[in-house]
Amino acid sequence: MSDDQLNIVAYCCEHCAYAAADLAGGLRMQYPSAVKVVEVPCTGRIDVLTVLLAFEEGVDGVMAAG
Amino acid sequence: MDGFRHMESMNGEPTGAVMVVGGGIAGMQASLDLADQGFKVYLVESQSAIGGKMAQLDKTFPTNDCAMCTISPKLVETGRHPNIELLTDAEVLDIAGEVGDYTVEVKRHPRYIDTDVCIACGDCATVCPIVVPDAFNEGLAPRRAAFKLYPQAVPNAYAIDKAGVAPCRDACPAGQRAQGYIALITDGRWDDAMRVIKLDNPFPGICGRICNHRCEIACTRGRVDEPINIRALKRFITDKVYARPRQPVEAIPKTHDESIAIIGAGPCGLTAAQDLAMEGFAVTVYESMPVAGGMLRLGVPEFRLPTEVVEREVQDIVDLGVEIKLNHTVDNLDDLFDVGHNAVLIAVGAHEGVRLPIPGADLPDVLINTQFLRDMRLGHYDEGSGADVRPLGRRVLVLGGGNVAIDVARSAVRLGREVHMACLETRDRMPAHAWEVEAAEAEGITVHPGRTFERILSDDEGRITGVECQEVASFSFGEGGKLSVSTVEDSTHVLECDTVIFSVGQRSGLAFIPDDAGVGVTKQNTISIDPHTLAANREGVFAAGDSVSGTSFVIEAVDSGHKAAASLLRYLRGEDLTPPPGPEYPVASPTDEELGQRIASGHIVRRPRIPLPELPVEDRIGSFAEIERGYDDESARAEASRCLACGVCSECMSCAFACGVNAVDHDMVAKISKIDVGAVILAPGYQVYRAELAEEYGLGRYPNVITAMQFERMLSASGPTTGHIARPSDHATPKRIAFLQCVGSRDQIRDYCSAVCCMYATKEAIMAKEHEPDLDIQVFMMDMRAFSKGYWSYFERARDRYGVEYTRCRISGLREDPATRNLMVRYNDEAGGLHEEPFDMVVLSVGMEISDSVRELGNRLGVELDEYGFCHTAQFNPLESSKPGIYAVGPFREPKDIPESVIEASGAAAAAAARLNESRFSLTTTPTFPDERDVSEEDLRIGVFVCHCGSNIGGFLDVPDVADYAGTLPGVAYSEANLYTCSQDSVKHIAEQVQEQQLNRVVVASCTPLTHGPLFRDMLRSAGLNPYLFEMANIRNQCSWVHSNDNEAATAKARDLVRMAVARAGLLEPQHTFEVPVTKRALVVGGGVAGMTAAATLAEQGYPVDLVEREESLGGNLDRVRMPFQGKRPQDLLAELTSRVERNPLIDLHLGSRVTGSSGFMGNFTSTVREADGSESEVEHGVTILATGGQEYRGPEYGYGTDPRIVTQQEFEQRLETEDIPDSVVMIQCVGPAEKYCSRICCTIALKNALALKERKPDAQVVVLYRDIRVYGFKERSYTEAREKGVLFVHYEPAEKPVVEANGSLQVRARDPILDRALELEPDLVVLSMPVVPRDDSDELANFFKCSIDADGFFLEAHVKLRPVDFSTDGVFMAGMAHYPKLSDETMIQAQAAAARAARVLSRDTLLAGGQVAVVDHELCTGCLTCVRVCPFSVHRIDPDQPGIGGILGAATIEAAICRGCGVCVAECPGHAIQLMHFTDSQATAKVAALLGHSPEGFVPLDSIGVPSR
Repeated sequence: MSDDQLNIVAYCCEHCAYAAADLAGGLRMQYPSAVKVVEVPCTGRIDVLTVLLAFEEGVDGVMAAG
Repeated sequence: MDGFRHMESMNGEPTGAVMVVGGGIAGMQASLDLADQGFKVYLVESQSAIGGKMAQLDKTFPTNDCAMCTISPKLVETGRHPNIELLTDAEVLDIAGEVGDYTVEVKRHPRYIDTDVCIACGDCATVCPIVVPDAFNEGLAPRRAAFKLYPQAVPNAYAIDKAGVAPCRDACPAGQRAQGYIALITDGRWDDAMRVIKLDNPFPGICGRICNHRCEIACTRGRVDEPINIRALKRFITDKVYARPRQPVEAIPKTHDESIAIIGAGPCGLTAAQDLAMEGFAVTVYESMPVAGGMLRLGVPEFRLPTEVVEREVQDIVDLGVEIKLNHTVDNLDDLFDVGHNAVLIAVGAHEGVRLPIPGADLPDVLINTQFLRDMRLGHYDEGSGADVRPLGRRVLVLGGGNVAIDVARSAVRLGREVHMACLETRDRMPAHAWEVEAAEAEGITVHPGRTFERILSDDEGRITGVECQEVASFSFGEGGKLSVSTVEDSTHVLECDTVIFSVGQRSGLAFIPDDAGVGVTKQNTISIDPHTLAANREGVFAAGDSVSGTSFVIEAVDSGHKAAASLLRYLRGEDLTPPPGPEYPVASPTDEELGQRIASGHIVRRPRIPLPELPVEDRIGSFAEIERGYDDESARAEASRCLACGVCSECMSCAFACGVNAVDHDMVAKISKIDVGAVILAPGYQVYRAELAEEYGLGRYPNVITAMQFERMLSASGPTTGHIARPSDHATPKRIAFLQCVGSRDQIRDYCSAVCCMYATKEAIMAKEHEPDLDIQVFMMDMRAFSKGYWSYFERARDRYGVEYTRCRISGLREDPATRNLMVRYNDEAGGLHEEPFDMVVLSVGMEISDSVRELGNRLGVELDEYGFCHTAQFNPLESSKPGIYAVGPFREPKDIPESVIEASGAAAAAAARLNESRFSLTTTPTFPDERDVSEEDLRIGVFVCHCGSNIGGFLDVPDVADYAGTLPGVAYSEANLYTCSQDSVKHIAEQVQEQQLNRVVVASCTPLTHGPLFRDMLRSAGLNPYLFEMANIRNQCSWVHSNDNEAATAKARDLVRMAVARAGLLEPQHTFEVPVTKRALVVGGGVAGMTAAATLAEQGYPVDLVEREESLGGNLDRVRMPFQGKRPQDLLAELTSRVERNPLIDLHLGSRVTGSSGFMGNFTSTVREADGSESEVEHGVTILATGGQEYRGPEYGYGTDPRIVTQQEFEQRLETEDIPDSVVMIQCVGPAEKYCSRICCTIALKNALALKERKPDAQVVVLYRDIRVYGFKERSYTEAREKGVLFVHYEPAEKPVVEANGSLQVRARDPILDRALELEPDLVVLSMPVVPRDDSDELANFFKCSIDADGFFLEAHVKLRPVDFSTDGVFMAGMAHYPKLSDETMIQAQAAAARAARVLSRDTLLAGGQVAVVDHELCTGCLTCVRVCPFSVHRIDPDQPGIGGILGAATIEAAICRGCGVCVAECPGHAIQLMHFTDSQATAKVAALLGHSPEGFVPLDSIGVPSR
């Protein structure tokens, strides 16, 4: 499986990490398309179950940034 | 106070608007505070976006927060506030009126991009060929002339950096954008270059060869070395384009009934024909000759202008649908009207040569220039075809010295003749271009200058034998152009020849205009016209070109043709013929000084023109092949790269062509408007000291010396090096960096401390070490001025944990090692040892200064400035300038850091609001929306709109495919792709689709919700949908841009992201807000300077205040401050403040009282006050300001309390009021807790008291033992003054603290590090500079109001930088020394700021609650307190009367009015009793399920496993 076929969910706080991901785009930085950013109101909103559920759904990795 | 006095003097109500000048952090804060309080705000910013200096910063001290992350929400809030009008690219010119009723004149500079239309796609910058240093990146990176100030800029729109019209364009009669095509040539964009030339000139190939190129005379490069060879570059472009087969030009459909006749198919007539055809008119051109092109085709020899070039350019015009009737002589104008033309343009040119009236002029072998050239061009002199023309003799004499004469002569040479030229003028004053004369001579033509032509001699058979001439002594033109010549006596001679060709001028052939045609002819045989409209005397007849001006150059004919067409258009449309007055475009002409600087800095390198290759002379004669060869690609680009880009923007128009929403308008001009406001807040900020002016630092000369601001950009991840530290000289990572402090501060010229440099250098050192842990950093400083909250520990962290080395000295020299480009820094250590050490890079900690433009602003407004340009403010109203109602904030008053600027901004907002109180909400607006559609019973109908964003998305992934795919997703009723979803048209279109398609959820797949979410949510509201029924898929910033190398992967991911967004959209529900009433009353705790100022400020705005003070009298610490500081008398201030409070009927004073409890939330607090008499009363209030103050520390250090000769500064100050003045004093700084944190004010107080002692007893000896003297800003001056007055300062290291002994005599022992010896002093008095510590009851009070305190016991603000007077608990604010030690004016300002923040709440009748907030399901709540503990904003509380799980009383409640919707409690609640509205568990997990291809129904969401979905 190539990197791009993986699914990595990046939970990003809409106040900071999400904006950083936007800026990465503005700077035309490149990263694997496997990464899918999901915005959250605060990384504090993510609980263990959220993460486990993602794995249960079949994602290959979860990242929380905030 | 005096604010009211001014108010009373005014007639009527004040204007409910405020102008804020400067869009940095202070300006934004002032604007937001005022707009939120019901005032209309005009925010004037000189740059193209707000954000100021803070937006340039990488991190902020002392928290290392990302500056952009913290400022960005403020930018967005300011930009979107309905009552803040952003005036970017603007400056204030003048002010009139008085407080409450000012009229401000504002000039808005043209931005050339309409911010209302621009969608910031960046296509303009992509195509812009102009590269300039990016000032936002401090010159470390290039940017384009079309630019956005920085990625997060507000307004989110591009701007064009244009200094004015380039001199080359200005000089061109047709306004050719020479800088534009030159820039495009540099870029190798031949077709784009051709396009811009053709915008103004249909004959580029022709002008590229024969134009007289005035552009080159005007070219600024000519002032450096040689002008750019613009004409050759123009020709180069046409050669490149014409080397390819011509593509027919598309015909323009005729959209008008009228038709126009043009007489003459020369450059003027054809230009007009083109313009009129482009407008959709039928045009017929009547040409008497068998070919079109006029003089271009018939008057210029082939070797200068090949026929094919003329034919090609004429054909481009014919293709548009212009009819040319060749061989068609117009005999009279009536015929043209008779055949149905509605208007006529005469553009016949000047084809008739002039014959001098001398004897022999009518001999058969005498030819005329134009006729000769025409015959030649028509092929009549070609070998074997010369039957119908007079053959040339062997020896040809051309009479005349102009360019046409040269053409004639050089043509004759090519026909194999011996050619001579004779003219009136001397050789060096011949009218022909010098290089033309030289070329002619090179081809063997003999020039006989300075002759008169007396007669043409002939033999008996009438064959010419020669021309009799005299030599000219001098000649001049008298009145009416009459020539008078004096000749040299006895100089008559004969120039022998067989053929004479006159070339002494041309004129129009106007025979077709009979006297009764109604068209006048001038004495010069030109057509009489109105010069403004080109209209001839006869209605509907116009004339242009050589036929009205006499002979001129082709570019003038083009210009004349354009003007004629414009005039004809106005005539045909029935408009006034006079052209509307056009705006004046400034010409951009760099000054000699600027050029000198650019040469000195190496940006301009002198190099001459690239020579243009020519056909060798031997190949020229006998051939009509073109002489000039064009540039090749490489030479053309090299020549083009010499352009100095005078206008910055080259007006190449690439941006206008690229812009998909037509936002570009290069014709914008500056606009001046008058704006009525009640008050003005000046927050223009500072400029960093221009260290290049101080040669000793080598900035600008040594590449590896940079400013701290440059280093800041280097550290920034979005900066020029994406966060890598690189030496400018070789981009290597440095190993050793030196920071030089106090550059442009604390020196002979600037006697102030810039207050921020010590800390920002420390921050930059820390960040550099984080980037490169092996880096050695040495900071050369005088004192470590870590004087504010958290600063000292920040410094200690840099020194101890990061290993930053601090050396206490100013360097004595700096030089560059030319081989390594390292910098050799010479310095003395504290013991006096001299060192010289190499560093890879040197960072200059440049100070703050006021720019010339800000000084000029201050002078224009009439506010008092000091010699450095800083603004003076009033003593008891520290933010007001010398002019009432004009406030100054931020570094404009005094150098300062971000939080203090923010505090001042809020403070000024409060002061302005107090002045304009009556007019609150008089000029503000509230957006209105239609009623919301109830969608609860509707089936799901999702609309998906996928954006191309020009090529930003569409160029990297398959947008139509994604849109089609979206249409197949469950619940999607409609999908489409848009070029730009956010353009005004598209937003309107989507709103229409919502209604037409009855959509009830909307998904936009485009850029980022952070910038565009609010726009689309408003769109939903305008379409009658709840704004929460909206979802975005970020397929640009997080897809097309970051996977730009892989179209397939990007498309696949975009499909995923759209599917995820649709899945979540399907679960969205409307959310509603509701209003909670506000108690319009404030509680202020503390009756010192802070509390009194806050109470008075609020009461003066009309809000009742309960002021609770635990002492029996007002005043707090101020009562104990006796000595004046820098002219300010504390007791006067106290008296003024006390009477202001006591006099105000809206203030309820509670003296000798305490707050004993409080409940409620912002807008609705209830607190209990125990009064002096022991009774308890309840106070209802909407806001709380805690101003409980601090107190002087009284610990046992240095023997305090053991001997009356060991006193504190406060005690010393009181003693100075008595007669008992000591003869000698030792002051010890940094006592007790101040070893741990800097108490900020002790140095200032010590200096004040030392000076007071010196004033009373000049011989008194004062020794100050200190670690660092931390006087900041202008307080530095008292340090200088103290040293001048003989106060001795001795530094001590914390490890070697002074020792005080009081056994009989008082003894102080310390070690002098400079003399390196022990110091023993026996003063009369030891004065301990005791720090300020928090009041002992501040933590109890904080507890009542659920507020935080820091490790040192001071109140903890919500955000150190941007919310410096707010607690994180909403509705509670702080001021004064309870927050941190500060001086009285700082305290007053902070109290005003707290009042402003409080007034934002009190000015509203209700607060909006609801939306994305957390909600407790009480039936599941066990009242476990988890949520109460985790909420960062102290929102949750346990309601003892609320039944929870199993009916047990005491469940958690969340006040919707203050919940921020972060959802932390949701994640933490062990019983899953809390849900976050708009982010329920199923909404949160829907995206992940959809990513893996599961439908929302196909997986088990959290709220289905035990937690009921809401």
